[in-house]
Amino acid sequence: MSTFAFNATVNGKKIEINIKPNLRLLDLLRDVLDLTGTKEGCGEGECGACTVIVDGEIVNSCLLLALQVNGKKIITIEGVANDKEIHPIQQSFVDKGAVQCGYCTPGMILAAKALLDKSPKPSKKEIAIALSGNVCRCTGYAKIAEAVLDASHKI
Amino acid sequence: MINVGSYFRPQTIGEVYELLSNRKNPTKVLAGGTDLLLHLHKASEPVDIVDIGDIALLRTIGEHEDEIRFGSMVTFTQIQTSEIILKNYRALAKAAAMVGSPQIRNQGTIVGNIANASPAADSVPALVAVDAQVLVASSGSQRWEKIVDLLARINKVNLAGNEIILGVSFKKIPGLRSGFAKLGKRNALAISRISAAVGIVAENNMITEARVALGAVAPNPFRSHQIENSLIGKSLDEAISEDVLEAASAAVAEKLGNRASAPYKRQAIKGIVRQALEDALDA
Repeated sequence: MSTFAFNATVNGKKIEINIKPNLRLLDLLRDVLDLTGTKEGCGEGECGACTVIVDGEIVNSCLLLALQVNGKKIITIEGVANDKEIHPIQQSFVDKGAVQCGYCTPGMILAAKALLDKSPKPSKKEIAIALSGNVCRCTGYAKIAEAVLDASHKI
Repeated sequence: MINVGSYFRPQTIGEVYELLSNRKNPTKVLAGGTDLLLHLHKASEPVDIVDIGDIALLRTIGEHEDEIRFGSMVTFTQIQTSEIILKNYRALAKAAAMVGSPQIRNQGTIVGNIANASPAADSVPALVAVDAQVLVASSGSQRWEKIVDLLARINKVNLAGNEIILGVSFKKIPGLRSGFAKLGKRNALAISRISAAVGIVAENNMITEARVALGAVAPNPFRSHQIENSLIGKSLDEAISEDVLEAASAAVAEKLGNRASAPYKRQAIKGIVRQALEDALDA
């Protein structure tokens, strides 16, 4: 299989590599770039564990060929905190007990971030809709919704 | 493993036509990819991919004097939030808003939804209700085809290997009040078990025109003249009435025959048509 040039910005850093066309964005992030915060929960776009932000919008990285996001700006969970401290959304998740096994958490936080970046003061319903593509087996969602609401008060 | 052979990223529609002509290997056009990537997992031989993501003019939604048109890269999110769609045909925006999840809606396209031809495709009943057409093109020719004629039963469309859908068009219906309802096993990330798009035009409080299309109760979504006729002539207060809901039940019973889902769907359709009518009348 021939390789193709892939250029994108991942968490603020320019990436230029050659990849095979059958590489999913999820595989590029985890296996090539060693950014294992993005998880594969189902591989079919039904759980949201693989959620990343591409050009400001959340997408399922298991349903994208890496080459589809050539030239775009990608943010993974590793790009949410800055050098000194965790993001207010992450702090709220910790404070509100919104993390149990943690597997859904990266996707949840990115969905929350994409929401708050566009709508800084969302209603509870808007939060529920924004996170409706992310499933959680542990928490029952209540703490997660509280955490996002809490973060919206701080940002 | 995703079974991809070669990957192409044309910059113009002309290049797309060239790439689709005389292909030796199985070739698929990639728009959003939310359905295609799942098919690629199951493909028995490598599939060549023609990614149309760079063709900017396919991402536009336009309002013309008597029709609305949008291109084949337009996503569910774009339709959901489009002023043009919300103003002219709310049911389509509502249908788009109920597809999958925000992640799927940000990436998936309406035309992909049509071309994948699932019986449960959510945007399709809304489009079929207004007799929407698609522009089918290849290097030799272009033609407009009604979506109902394009769909050829489950996961099949009447498209030749060298053809691509460039966009969708539907005529504006002045005074149309429209609504959409979907029955799924949960509120999001749900495949429709039944869906209904309804549109009514009323003059002096009386229904003069009705458009009703049902999804997930037949191989492809379809307009139900039976339900439409039961609405015409009724006053707006009478729209949600026993005989309209019975017409819906009869239409579904006829389509589903002896299928295991028939007893359930024959009853559930009444609730969905009721919801869709309430949605339309609320607007």
